[in-house]
Amino acid sequence: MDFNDRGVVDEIHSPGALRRPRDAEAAVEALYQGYAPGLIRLAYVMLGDRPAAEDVVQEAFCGLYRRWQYLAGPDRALSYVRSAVLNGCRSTVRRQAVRRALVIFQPHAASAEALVLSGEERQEVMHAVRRLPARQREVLVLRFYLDLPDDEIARTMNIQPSTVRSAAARALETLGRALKEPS
Amino acid sequence: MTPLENELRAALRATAATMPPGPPPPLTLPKPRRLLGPVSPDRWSRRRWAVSLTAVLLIGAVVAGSLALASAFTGHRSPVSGPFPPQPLHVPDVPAYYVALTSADGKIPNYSAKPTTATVRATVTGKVLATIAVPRPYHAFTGVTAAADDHTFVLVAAEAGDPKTGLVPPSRYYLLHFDPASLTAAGTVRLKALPITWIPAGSMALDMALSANGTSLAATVGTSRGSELYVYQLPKGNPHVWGWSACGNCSGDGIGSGPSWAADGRTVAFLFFFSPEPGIGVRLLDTHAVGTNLLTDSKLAVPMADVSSPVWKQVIITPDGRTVFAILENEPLGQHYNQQLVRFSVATGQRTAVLNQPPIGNHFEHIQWTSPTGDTLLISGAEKGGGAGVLKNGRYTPIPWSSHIFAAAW
Repeated sequence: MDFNDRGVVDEIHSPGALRRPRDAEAAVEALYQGYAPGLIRLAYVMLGDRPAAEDVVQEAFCGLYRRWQYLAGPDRALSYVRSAVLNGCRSTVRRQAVRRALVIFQPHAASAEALVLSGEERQEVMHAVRRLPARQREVLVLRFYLDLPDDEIARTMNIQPSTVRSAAARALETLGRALKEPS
Repeated sequence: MTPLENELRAALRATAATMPPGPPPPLTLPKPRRLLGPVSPDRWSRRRWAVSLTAVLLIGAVVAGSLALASAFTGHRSPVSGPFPPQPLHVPDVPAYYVALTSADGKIPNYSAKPTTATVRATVTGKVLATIAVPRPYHAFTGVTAAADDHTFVLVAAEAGDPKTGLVPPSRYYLLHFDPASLTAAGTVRLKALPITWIPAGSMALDMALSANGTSLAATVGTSRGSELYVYQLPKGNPHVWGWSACGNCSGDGIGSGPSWAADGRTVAFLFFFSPEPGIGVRLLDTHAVGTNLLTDSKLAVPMADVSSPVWKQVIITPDGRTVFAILENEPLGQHYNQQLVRFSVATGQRTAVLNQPPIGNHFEHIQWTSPTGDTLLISGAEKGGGAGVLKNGRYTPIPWSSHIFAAAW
Protein backbone atom coordinates (compact mmCIF):
# COMPACT_ATOMS: atom_id res chain seq x y z
CA MET A 1 0.00 0.00 0.00
CA ASP A 2 1.40 3.34 -0.97
CA PHE A 3 1.42 5.90 1.81
CA ASN A 4 0.69 8.73 -0.52
CA ASP A 5 -2.96 7.81 -1.03
CA ARG A 6 -2.33 7.64 -4.71
CA GLY A 7 -5.92 7.24 -5.60
CA VAL A 8 -6.63 10.66 -4.21
CA VAL A 9 -3.58 12.20 -5.78
CA ASP A 10 -4.38 10.70 -9.14
CA GLU A 11 -7.86 12.11 -8.97
CA ILE A 12 -6.53 15.59 -8.39
CA HIS A 13 -4.19 15.46 -11.31
CA SER A 14 -6.38 13.54 -13.70
CA PRO A 15 -7.20 15.53 -16.79
CA GLY A 16 -10.84 16.49 -16.83
CA ALA A 17 -13.12 18.57 -18.94
CA LEU A 18 -12.75 21.57 -16.69
CA ARG A 19 -8.97 21.36 -16.68
CA ARG A 20 -8.53 22.50 -20.28
CA PRO A 21 -7.44 26.16 -20.48
CA ARG A 22 -10.46 27.38 -22.38
CA ASP A 23 -12.86 25.72 -19.95
CA ALA A 24 -10.84 27.02 -17.04
CA GLU A 25 -11.10 30.54 -18.43
CA ALA A 26 -14.84 30.18 -18.88
CA ALA A 27 -15.30 28.69 -15.44
CA VAL A 28 -13.25 31.41 -13.73
CA GLU A 29 -15.09 34.08 -15.71
CA ALA A 30 -18.41 32.59 -14.60
CA LEU A 31 -17.30 32.51 -10.99
CA TYR A 32 -16.13 36.09 -11.28
CA GLN A 33 -19.49 37.19 -12.62
CA GLY A 34 -21.27 35.43 -9.79
CA TYR A 35 -19.05 36.19 -6.85
CA ALA A 36 -16.94 39.25 -7.63
CA PRO A 37 -19.46 41.83 -6.33
CA GLY A 38 -19.71 40.11 -2.95
CA LEU A 39 -15.99 39.56 -2.70
CA ILE A 40 -15.22 43.16 -3.62
CA ARG A 41 -17.59 44.22 -0.88
CA LEU A 42 -15.82 41.87 1.54
CA ALA A 43 -12.45 43.34 0.59
CA TYR A 44 -13.94 46.81 0.89
CA VAL A 45 -15.00 46.07 4.47
CA MET A 46 -11.43 45.00 5.19
CA LEU A 47 -9.70 47.83 3.32
CA GLY A 48 -12.14 50.71 3.06
CA ASP A 49 -11.05 51.49 -0.47
CA ARG A 50 -12.95 50.28 -3.52
CA PRO A 51 -10.12 50.41 -6.10
CA ALA A 52 -7.85 48.52 -3.72
CA ALA A 53 -10.63 46.01 -3.07
CA GLU A 54 -11.14 45.51 -6.82
CA ASP A 55 -7.40 44.95 -7.29
CA VAL A 56 -7.33 42.34 -4.54
CA VAL A 57 -10.29 40.46 -6.01
CA GLN A 58 -8.86 40.68 -9.53
CA GLU A 59 -5.57 39.23 -8.32
CA ALA A 60 -7.38 36.49 -6.40
CA PHE A 61 -9.22 35.37 -9.54
CA CYS A 62 -6.00 35.49 -11.57
CA GLY A 63 -4.47 33.22 -8.94
CA LEU A 64 -7.48 30.95 -9.17
CA TYR A 65 -7.06 30.73 -12.93
CA ARG A 66 -3.37 29.92 -12.64
CA ARG A 67 -4.04 27.16 -10.13
CA TRP A 68 -7.24 25.86 -11.66
CA GLN A 69 -5.77 22.53 -12.76
CA TYR A 70 -4.52 21.84 -9.25
CA LEU A 71 -7.79 22.47 -7.45
CA ALA A 72 -9.37 19.36 -5.95
CA GLY A 73 -12.60 20.33 -7.66
CA PRO A 74 -14.54 23.31 -8.94
CA ASP A 75 -16.52 23.37 -5.71
CA ARG A 76 -13.31 24.32 -3.90
CA ALA A 77 -12.92 27.41 -6.01
CA LEU A 78 -14.99 29.71 -3.84
CA SER A 79 -13.10 28.67 -0.71
CA TYR A 80 -9.82 29.21 -2.52
CA VAL A 81 -10.69 32.62 -3.88
CA ARG A 82 -12.12 33.76 -0.54
CA SER A 83 -8.86 32.79 1.15
CA ALA A 84 -6.93 34.60 -1.56
CA VAL A 85 -8.97 37.74 -1.03
CA LEU A 86 -8.24 37.66 2.71
CA ASN A 87 -4.53 37.15 2.03
CA GLY A 88 -4.57 39.97 -0.49
CA CYS A 89 -6.26 42.29 1.99
CA ARG A 90 -3.68 41.38 4.62
CA SER A 91 -0.84 42.22 2.22
CA THR A 92 -2.49 45.48 1.23
CA VAL A 93 -2.99 46.53 4.84
CA ARG A 94 0.65 45.71 5.53
CA ARG A 95 1.79 47.81 2.59
CA GLN A 96 -0.46 50.63 3.69
CA ALA A 97 0.96 50.40 7.19
CA VAL A 98 4.48 50.58 5.82
CA ARG A 99 3.58 53.69 3.91
CA ARG A 100 1.90 55.02 7.06
CA ALA A 101 -1.19 55.44 4.98
CA LEU A 102 -3.42 53.20 7.05
CA VAL A 103 -6.45 55.27 7.67
CA ILE A 104 -9.83 54.64 9.11
CA PHE A 105 -11.67 55.43 5.98
CA GLN A 106 -14.53 57.80 5.62
CA PRO A 107 -17.66 56.37 4.10
CA HIS A 108 -18.36 57.71 0.64
CA ALA A 109 -22.07 57.96 0.82
CA ALA A 110 -24.85 57.37 3.23
CA SER A 111 -27.41 54.69 2.53
CA ALA A 112 -30.47 53.34 4.27
CA GLU A 113 -28.47 50.43 5.63
CA ALA A 114 -25.65 52.67 6.68
CA LEU A 115 -28.07 54.68 8.74
CA VAL A 116 -28.92 51.72 10.95
CA LEU A 117 -26.05 52.86 13.06
CA SER A 118 -25.15 56.46 13.29
CA GLY A 119 -21.97 57.25 11.39
CA GLU A 120 -20.13 57.97 14.58
CA GLU A 121 -21.01 54.69 16.25
CA ARG A 122 -20.13 52.73 13.16
CA GLN A 123 -16.80 54.48 12.86
CA GLU A 124 -16.09 53.68 16.47
CA VAL A 125 -16.85 49.99 15.99
CA MET A 126 -14.89 49.80 12.75
CA HIS A 127 -12.00 51.65 14.32
CA ALA A 128 -11.88 49.02 17.06
CA VAL A 129 -12.20 46.20 14.51
CA ARG A 130 -9.31 47.54 12.48
CA ARG A 131 -7.07 47.66 15.51
CA LEU A 132 -7.48 43.92 16.10
CA PRO A 133 -4.77 41.49 14.98
CA ALA A 134 -5.35 40.30 11.43
CA ARG A 135 -6.59 36.85 12.32
CA GLN A 136 -9.14 38.10 14.83
CA ARG A 137 -10.36 40.79 12.44
CA GLU A 138 -10.83 38.27 9.65
CA VAL A 139 -12.70 35.83 11.87
CA LEU A 140 -15.10 38.56 12.93
CA VAL A 141 -15.71 39.71 9.38
CA LEU A 142 -16.29 36.18 8.10
CA ARG A 143 -18.58 35.33 10.99
CA PHE A 144 -20.58 38.52 11.35
CA TYR A 145 -20.48 39.95 7.85
CA LEU A 146 -20.57 36.83 5.70
CA ASP A 147 -22.36 34.74 8.37
CA LEU A 148 -20.09 31.80 7.62
CA PRO A 149 -20.23 28.86 10.01
CA ASP A 150 -17.07 28.23 12.01
CA ASP A 151 -16.02 25.19 10.01
CA GLU A 152 -16.18 27.20 6.78
CA ILE A 153 -14.22 30.03 8.39
CA ALA A 154 -11.65 27.46 9.47
CA ARG A 155 -11.33 26.15 5.92
CA THR A 156 -11.10 29.62 4.47
CA MET A 157 -8.38 30.69 6.88
CA ASN A 158 -6.69 27.28 7.02
CA ILE A 159 -6.94 27.11 10.77
CA GLN A 160 -8.75 24.82 13.16
CA PRO A 161 -12.39 25.43 14.21
CA SER A 162 -11.21 25.70 17.81
CA THR A 163 -8.88 28.50 16.74
CA VAL A 164 -11.80 30.23 15.05
CA ARG A 165 -13.80 30.08 18.25
CA SER A 166 -10.97 31.27 20.45
CA ALA A 167 -10.03 34.07 18.05
CA ALA A 168 -13.65 35.21 17.89
CA ALA A 169 -13.98 35.11 21.66
CA ARG A 170 -10.84 37.10 22.18
CA ALA A 171 -11.76 39.56 19.46
CA LEU A 172 -15.18 40.16 20.99
CA GLU A 173 -13.59 40.54 24.40
CA THR A 174 -11.13 43.11 23.11
CA LEU A 175 -13.82 44.84 21.11
CA GLY A 176 -16.15 45.06 24.07
CA ARG A 177 -13.41 46.50 26.20
CA ALA A 178 -12.38 49.02 23.54
CA LEU A 179 -15.93 50.24 23.01
CA LYS A 180 -16.44 50.80 26.72
CA GLU A 181 -13.35 52.96 26.98
CA PRO A 182 -13.92 56.66 26.52
CA SER A 183 -12.41 57.77 23.23
CA MET B 1 -26.70 37.13 19.80
CA THR B 2 -25.39 39.71 22.24
CA PRO B 3 -25.81 43.47 21.86
CA LEU B 4 -22.13 43.74 21.00
CA GLU B 5 -22.43 41.12 18.28
CA ASN B 6 -25.52 42.86 16.91
CA GLU B 7 -23.69 46.16 16.91
CA LEU B 8 -20.72 44.61 15.15
CA ARG B 9 -22.87 42.96 12.50
CA ALA B 10 -24.72 46.21 11.85
CA ALA B 11 -21.46 48.16 11.64
CA LEU B 12 -19.92 45.71 9.16
CA ARG B 13 -23.00 45.73 6.96
CA ALA B 14 -23.37 49.46 7.14
CA THR B 15 -19.73 49.83 6.18
CA ALA B 16 -20.21 47.51 3.22
CA ALA B 17 -23.20 49.59 2.19
CA THR B 18 -21.01 52.68 1.93
CA MET B 19 -19.08 51.19 -0.97
CA PRO B 20 -19.45 53.36 -4.05
CA PRO B 21 -21.89 51.67 -6.42
CA GLY B 22 -20.94 50.20 -9.76
CA PRO B 23 -20.32 46.88 -11.45
CA PRO B 24 -17.04 45.06 -10.94
CA PRO B 25 -14.39 45.86 -13.53
CA PRO B 26 -13.92 43.26 -16.27
CA LEU B 27 -11.73 40.34 -15.31
CA THR B 28 -8.34 40.33 -17.03
CA LEU B 29 -6.84 36.89 -16.89
CA PRO B 30 -3.14 36.26 -17.53
CA LYS B 31 -2.21 35.01 -20.98
CA PRO B 32 -0.91 31.43 -21.26
CA ARG B 33 2.89 31.33 -21.35
CA ARG B 34 4.42 30.68 -24.77
CA LEU B 35 7.95 30.10 -25.96
CA LEU B 36 9.49 33.16 -27.58
CA GLY B 37 10.40 32.52 -31.19
CA PRO B 38 10.55 29.27 -33.11
CA VAL B 39 12.47 26.43 -31.56
CA SER B 40 13.91 23.63 -33.65
CA PRO B 41 13.05 20.09 -32.54
CA ASP B 42 16.72 19.41 -31.87
CA ARG B 43 17.12 22.56 -29.80
CA TRP B 44 13.88 21.79 -27.96
CA SER B 45 15.13 18.33 -27.19
CA ARG B 46 18.36 19.73 -25.77
CA ARG B 47 16.43 22.30 -23.82
CA ARG B 48 14.20 19.63 -22.30
CA TRP B 49 17.26 17.60 -21.38
CA ALA B 50 18.89 20.64 -19.83
CA VAL B 51 15.72 21.49 -17.95
CA SER B 52 15.45 17.94 -16.66
CA LEU B 53 19.04 17.92 -15.46
CA THR B 54 18.62 21.30 -13.81
CA ALA B 55 15.42 20.11 -12.17
CA VAL B 56 17.09 16.99 -10.84
CA LEU B 57 19.97 19.03 -9.42
CA LEU B 58 17.62 21.58 -7.92
CA ILE B 59 15.39 18.93 -6.37
CA GLY B 60 18.44 17.19 -4.96
CA ALA B 61 19.66 20.42 -3.43
CA VAL B 62 16.24 21.21 -1.99
CA VAL B 63 15.85 17.71 -0.52
CA ALA B 64 19.33 17.84 1.02
CA GLY B 65 18.63 21.29 2.40
CA SER B 66 15.26 20.20 3.76
CA LEU B 67 16.77 17.22 5.54
CA ALA B 68 19.46 19.40 7.04
CA LEU B 69 16.86 21.92 8.15
CA ALA B 70 14.61 19.22 9.60
CA SER B 71 17.51 17.79 11.56
CA ALA B 72 18.45 21.22 12.83
CA PHE B 73 14.88 21.93 13.83
CA THR B 74 14.08 18.71 15.63
CA GLY B 75 17.54 18.24 17.04
CA HIS B 76 17.84 14.66 15.88
CA ARG B 77 18.03 12.61 12.73
CA SER B 78 14.99 12.82 10.51
CA PRO B 79 13.51 9.82 8.78
CA VAL B 80 15.01 9.39 5.34
CA SER B 81 14.17 7.53 2.16
CA GLY B 82 10.68 8.92 1.85
CA PRO B 83 7.77 8.48 4.20
CA PHE B 84 8.67 4.87 5.03
CA PRO B 85 12.05 4.48 6.68
CA PRO B 86 13.74 1.24 5.70
CA GLN B 87 13.95 0.11 9.31
CA PRO B 88 11.12 0.39 11.83
CA LEU B 89 11.61 3.22 14.26
CA HIS B 90 11.89 2.46 17.90
CA VAL B 91 8.79 4.15 19.26
CA PRO B 92 8.28 3.13 22.85
CA ASP B 93 5.06 3.01 24.78
CA VAL B 94 2.65 4.21 22.14
CA PRO B 95 -0.36 2.36 20.73
CA ALA B 96 0.42 0.21 17.72
CA TYR B 97 -2.41 1.44 15.52
CA TYR B 98 -4.28 4.59 14.74
CA VAL B 99 -7.12 5.67 12.51
CA ALA B 100 -6.41 8.60 10.22
CA LEU B 101 -8.82 10.68 8.19
CA THR B 102 -7.39 11.98 4.97
CA SER B 103 -8.43 14.56 2.43
CA ALA B 104 -6.82 15.49 -0.84
CA ASP B 105 -4.98 18.47 0.59
CA GLY B 106 -4.71 17.42 4.22
CA LYS B 107 -7.10 20.17 5.27
CA ILE B 108 -10.39 19.80 7.05
CA PRO B 109 -12.70 18.71 4.26
CA ASN B 110 -15.29 20.86 2.70
CA TYR B 111 -18.46 18.87 3.01
CA SER B 112 -19.12 19.32 -0.65
CA ALA B 113 -15.65 18.18 -1.70
CA LYS B 114 -14.54 14.72 -2.61
CA PRO B 115 -15.24 12.09 0.03
CA THR B 116 -12.65 11.63 2.72
CA THR B 117 -11.17 8.27 3.63
CA ALA B 118 -10.55 6.61 6.95
CA THR B 119 -7.55 4.34 7.19
CA VAL B 120 -6.20 2.09 9.89
CA ARG B 121 -2.44 2.60 10.07
CA ALA B 122 0.49 1.19 11.94
CA THR B 123 2.11 3.81 14.16
CA VAL B 124 5.69 2.68 13.66
CA THR B 125 5.66 2.15 9.90
CA GLY B 126 2.80 4.38 8.83
CA LYS B 127 1.58 1.52 6.67
CA VAL B 128 -2.08 1.55 5.72
CA LEU B 129 -3.58 -1.69 7.00
CA ALA B 130 -7.20 -1.11 6.10
CA THR B 131 -9.23 1.51 4.27
CA ILE B 132 -12.80 2.30 5.27
CA ALA B 133 -15.23 3.87 2.82
CA VAL B 134 -17.82 6.36 3.98
CA PRO B 135 -21.18 4.59 4.34
CA ARG B 136 -24.03 5.95 2.28
CA PRO B 137 -25.83 8.32 2.39
CA TYR B 138 -22.97 10.03 4.16
CA HIS B 139 -20.30 11.78 2.21
CA ALA B 140 -17.24 12.34 4.35
CA PHE B 141 -15.70 11.34 7.63
CA THR B 142 -15.16 14.47 9.64
CA GLY B 143 -13.95 13.31 13.05
CA VAL B 144 -12.46 10.34 14.88
CA THR B 145 -11.66 9.35 18.45
CA ALA B 146 -10.23 6.22 20.07
CA ALA B 147 -10.66 4.06 23.15
CA ALA B 148 -7.59 2.87 25.03
CA ASP B 149 -7.74 -0.71 23.72
CA ASP B 150 -6.11 0.20 20.41
CA HIS B 151 -8.87 -1.30 18.28
CA THR B 152 -12.08 0.58 19.09
CA PHE B 153 -12.82 3.93 17.48
CA VAL B 154 -15.78 6.23 16.89
CA LEU B 155 -16.04 8.20 13.67
CA VAL B 156 -18.41 10.94 12.56
CA ALA B 157 -19.72 10.81 9.01
CA ALA B 158 -21.46 13.80 7.48
CA GLU B 159 -23.75 14.17 4.51
CA ALA B 160 -22.72 16.35 1.62
CA GLY B 161 -23.39 20.02 2.21
CA ASP B 162 -24.22 22.85 -0.10
CA PRO B 163 -21.28 25.26 -0.38
CA LYS B 164 -23.61 28.05 -1.44
CA THR B 165 -25.72 27.94 1.69
CA GLY B 166 -22.85 26.88 3.95
CA LEU B 167 -25.38 24.98 6.06
CA VAL B 168 -23.76 22.27 8.13
CA PRO B 169 -25.20 18.94 6.93
CA PRO B 170 -26.51 16.24 9.27
CA SER B 171 -24.05 13.67 10.51
CA ARG B 172 -23.94 10.43 12.44
CA TYR B 173 -21.63 8.49 14.73
CA TYR B 174 -20.13 5.17 13.66
CA LEU B 175 -18.32 2.56 15.72
CA LEU B 176 -15.19 1.12 14.13
CA HIS B 177 -13.72 -2.06 15.53
CA PHE B 178 -10.92 -4.21 14.21
CA ASP B 179 -9.02 -7.25 15.26
CA PRO B 180 -5.34 -6.31 15.48
CA ALA B 181 -4.26 -9.95 15.23
CA SER B 182 -5.66 -10.42 11.74
CA LEU B 183 -5.78 -6.95 10.27
CA THR B 184 -4.54 -8.05 6.91
CA ALA B 185 -7.42 -10.44 6.39
CA ALA B 186 -10.56 -9.12 4.76
CA GLY B 187 -13.57 -8.63 6.94
CA THR B 188 -11.77 -7.97 10.19
CA VAL B 189 -12.68 -4.29 10.22
CA ARG B 190 -16.28 -3.59 11.14
CA LEU B 191 -18.03 -0.27 10.88
CA LYS B 192 -21.53 0.07 12.23
CA ALA B 193 -23.82 3.00 12.85
CA LEU B 194 -24.31 3.74 16.52
CA PRO B 195 -27.95 3.82 17.54
CA ILE B 196 -27.53 7.11 19.31
CA THR B 197 -28.98 10.45 18.42
CA TRP B 198 -28.14 11.84 15.03
CA ILE B 199 -26.55 15.21 14.83
CA PRO B 200 -29.13 17.27 12.96
CA ALA B 201 -28.39 19.70 10.16
CA GLY B 202 -27.07 22.98 11.47
CA SER B 203 -25.22 21.30 14.33
CA MET B 204 -21.90 19.56 14.19
CA ALA B 205 -19.59 17.57 16.42
CA LEU B 206 -16.69 19.95 16.94
CA ASP B 207 -14.49 17.76 19.10
CA MET B 208 -15.10 14.39 20.69
CA ALA B 209 -13.46 11.86 22.95
CA LEU B 210 -14.15 8.23 23.67
CA SER B 211 -13.60 7.06 27.23
CA ALA B 212 -10.75 4.64 27.88
CA ASN B 213 -13.05 1.62 28.05
CA GLY B 214 -15.07 2.76 25.03
CA THR B 215 -18.41 2.93 26.82
CA SER B 216 -18.87 6.72 26.95
CA LEU B 217 -18.55 9.29 24.23
CA ALA B 218 -18.18 12.99 25.01
CA ALA B 219 -18.67 15.46 22.19
CA THR B 220 -18.73 19.20 21.91
CA VAL B 221 -21.60 19.92 19.58
CA GLY B 222 -21.93 23.31 17.96
CA THR B 223 -25.56 24.38 17.74
CA SER B 224 -27.43 27.56 17.10
CA ARG B 225 -27.50 27.99 20.89
CA GLY B 226 -23.70 27.89 21.07
CA SER B 227 -21.62 24.85 21.88
CA GLU B 228 -22.88 22.20 24.27
CA LEU B 229 -21.26 19.17 25.78
CA TYR B 230 -22.96 15.86 24.99
CA VAL B 231 -22.13 12.65 26.80
CA TYR B 232 -23.50 9.42 25.33
CA GLN B 233 -23.51 6.04 27.00
CA LEU B 234 -22.66 3.58 24.24
CA PRO B 235 -23.87 1.75 22.39
CA LYS B 236 -27.35 3.13 23.09
CA GLY B 237 -28.88 5.98 24.91
CA ASN B 238 -29.84 9.57 24.52
CA PRO B 239 -27.15 12.06 25.33
CA HIS B 240 -26.86 13.90 28.59
CA VAL B 241 -26.43 17.48 27.45
CA TRP B 242 -24.70 20.21 29.40
CA GLY B 243 -25.05 23.83 28.32
CA TRP B 244 -24.09 27.04 29.98
CA SER B 245 -26.94 29.41 29.23
CA ALA B 246 -27.08 30.21 32.93
CA CYS B 247 -23.90 32.17 32.44
CA GLY B 248 -25.67 35.50 32.30
CA ASN B 249 -23.06 37.83 30.92
CA CYS B 250 -21.33 35.43 28.58
CA SER B 251 -21.63 35.28 24.84
CA GLY B 252 -20.48 33.00 22.06
CA ASP B 253 -19.51 29.38 22.14
CA GLY B 254 -17.86 28.91 25.48
CA ILE B 255 -16.22 25.54 25.04
CA GLY B 256 -12.89 26.27 23.46
CA SER B 257 -11.18 22.94 23.26
CA GLY B 258 -12.72 19.57 23.06
CA PRO B 259 -13.35 17.07 25.79
CA SER B 260 -10.85 14.52 27.06
CA TRP B 261 -11.48 11.74 29.56
CA ALA B 262 -9.67 10.74 32.69
CA ALA B 263 -9.40 6.96 33.04
CA ASP B 264 -12.03 6.91 35.78
CA GLY B 265 -14.61 7.06 33.00
CA ARG B 266 -16.36 9.85 34.87
CA THR B 267 -14.29 13.01 34.60
CA VAL B 268 -14.17 15.02 31.40
CA ALA B 269 -11.81 17.96 30.97
CA PHE B 270 -12.73 20.84 28.71
CA LEU B 271 -11.66 24.43 28.15
CA PHE B 272 -14.10 27.16 29.04
CA PHE B 273 -12.92 30.60 28.08
CA PHE B 274 -15.59 33.21 28.11
CA SER B 275 -15.13 36.10 30.44
CA PRO B 276 -16.42 37.98 32.33
CA GLU B 277 -17.61 34.71 33.82
CA PRO B 278 -15.24 33.71 36.61
CA GLY B 279 -13.84 30.26 36.24
CA ILE B 280 -12.38 30.42 32.78
CA GLY B 281 -9.74 27.80 32.08
CA VAL B 282 -9.64 24.03 32.13
CA ARG B 283 -12.65 22.67 33.98
CA LEU B 284 -13.44 19.11 35.04
CA LEU B 285 -16.99 17.92 34.52
CA ASP B 286 -18.42 15.17 36.67
CA THR B 287 -20.42 13.26 34.08
CA HIS B 288 -22.33 11.42 36.81
CA ALA B 289 -23.89 14.71 37.87
CA VAL B 290 -27.58 14.93 37.05
CA GLY B 291 -27.74 18.62 36.18
CA THR B 292 -27.49 20.31 32.82
CA ASN B 293 -25.47 23.38 33.71
CA LEU B 294 -21.93 22.94 32.48
CA LEU B 295 -20.49 25.40 34.97
CA THR B 296 -22.36 24.20 38.02
CA ASP B 297 -21.49 20.56 37.40
CA SER B 298 -17.82 21.21 36.72
CA LYS B 299 -14.99 22.67 38.74
CA LEU B 300 -12.08 24.80 37.69
CA ALA B 301 -8.81 22.85 37.64
CA VAL B 302 -6.40 25.08 35.74
CA PRO B 303 -7.39 28.74 35.77
CA MET B 304 -6.75 30.95 32.78
CA ALA B 305 -5.67 34.44 33.75
CA ASP B 306 -7.02 36.26 30.73
CA VAL B 307 -8.71 35.41 27.46
CA SER B 308 -6.52 37.89 25.61
CA SER B 309 -3.17 36.19 25.39
CA PRO B 310 -1.96 33.58 24.91
CA VAL B 311 -4.62 31.67 23.02
CA TRP B 312 -5.38 28.27 24.51
CA LYS B 313 -5.74 26.11 21.45
CA GLN B 314 -6.07 22.64 22.89
CA VAL B 315 -6.19 21.02 26.30
CA ILE B 316 -6.04 17.34 27.20
CA ILE B 317 -6.07 15.61 30.56
CA THR B 318 -3.90 12.57 31.22
CA PRO B 319 -5.79 9.36 31.99
CA ASP B 320 -4.54 9.41 35.59
CA GLY B 321 -6.30 12.75 35.97
CA ARG B 322 -3.29 14.47 37.49
CA THR B 323 -1.91 16.46 34.58
CA VAL B 324 -3.28 18.75 31.90
CA PHE B 325 -1.35 19.56 28.76
CA ALA B 326 -2.19 22.64 26.75
CA ILE B 327 -1.10 24.12 23.46
CA LEU B 328 -0.81 27.86 23.93
CA GLU B 329 -0.31 30.26 21.08
CA ASN B 330 1.17 33.68 21.46
CA GLU B 331 -0.46 36.14 19.17
CA PRO B 332 1.35 39.44 19.17
CA LEU B 333 0.18 42.34 17.08
CA GLY B 334 2.93 41.60 14.58
CA GLN B 335 3.05 38.67 12.23
CA HIS B 336 5.12 36.27 14.29
CA TYR B 337 3.48 33.50 16.23
CA ASN B 338 4.81 30.66 18.25
CA GLN B 339 3.23 27.86 20.23
CA GLN B 340 4.08 26.35 23.56
CA LEU B 341 3.32 22.87 24.78
CA VAL B 342 2.72 23.46 28.47
CA ARG B 343 2.17 21.03 31.33
CA PHE B 344 -0.06 21.93 34.29
CA SER B 345 -0.70 20.21 37.58
CA VAL B 346 -4.37 19.51 38.25
CA ALA B 347 -3.70 19.49 41.99
CA THR B 348 -2.28 23.01 42.07
CA GLY B 349 -3.55 24.49 38.82
CA GLN B 350 -0.05 25.74 38.21
CA ARG B 351 2.16 25.49 35.15
CA THR B 352 4.90 22.93 35.79
CA ALA B 353 6.82 22.81 32.51
CA VAL B 354 7.05 24.16 29.00
CA LEU B 355 7.95 21.19 26.83
CA ASN B 356 8.59 22.86 23.49
CA GLN B 357 8.02 26.08 21.60
CA PRO B 358 7.77 25.47 17.87
CA PRO B 359 7.36 28.40 15.52
CA ILE B 360 4.20 28.38 13.46
CA GLY B 361 4.34 27.83 9.76
CA ASN B 362 1.42 26.48 7.85
CA HIS B 363 0.70 24.04 10.59
CA PHE B 364 -0.32 23.91 14.20
CA GLU B 365 0.60 21.66 17.00
CA HIS B 366 -1.88 19.12 18.30
CA ILE B 367 -1.60 16.58 21.09
CA GLN B 368 -2.91 13.40 19.55
CA TRP B 369 -2.44 11.05 22.49
CA THR B 370 -1.03 10.96 26.00
CA SER B 371 0.20 8.03 28.04
CA PRO B 372 -1.56 7.41 31.37
CA THR B 373 0.83 9.66 33.30
CA GLY B 374 1.73 12.04 30.49
CA ASP B 375 5.36 10.99 30.27
CA THR B 376 4.89 10.12 26.60
CA LEU B 377 2.96 12.23 24.12
CA LEU B 378 2.09 11.82 20.47
CA ILE B 379 1.97 15.21 18.84
CA SER B 380 1.49 16.43 15.32
CA GLY B 381 2.45 19.72 13.74
CA ALA B 382 5.58 20.26 15.82
CA GLU B 383 7.81 20.15 12.78
CA LYS B 384 7.94 22.54 9.91
CA GLY B 385 5.65 21.25 7.21
CA GLY B 386 3.59 19.16 9.59
CA GLY B 387 4.53 15.63 10.58
CA ALA B 388 3.98 13.82 13.83
CA GLY B 389 6.14 12.23 16.44
CA VAL B 390 6.57 10.91 19.94
CA LEU B 391 7.76 13.24 22.68
CA LYS B 392 9.31 11.45 25.65
CA ASN B 393 11.89 12.69 28.12
CA GLY B 394 12.45 15.80 26.06
CA ARG B 395 13.27 13.79 22.96
CA TYR B 396 11.12 13.99 19.86
CA THR B 397 11.05 10.94 17.57
CA PRO B 398 9.21 11.49 14.30
CA ILE B 399 6.90 8.81 12.97
CA PRO B 400 5.86 8.31 9.35
CA TRP B 401 3.08 10.69 8.52
CA SER B 402 1.06 11.57 5.47
CA SER B 403 0.45 15.18 4.56
CA HIS B 404 -3.08 14.16 3.59
CA ILE B 405 -4.06 13.45 7.20
CA PHE B 406 -6.33 16.06 8.73
CA ALA B 407 -7.40 14.11 11.81
CA ALA B 408 -6.15 11.04 13.63
CA ALA B 409 -6.85 9.11 16.81
CA TRP B 410 -4.85 6.65 18.85
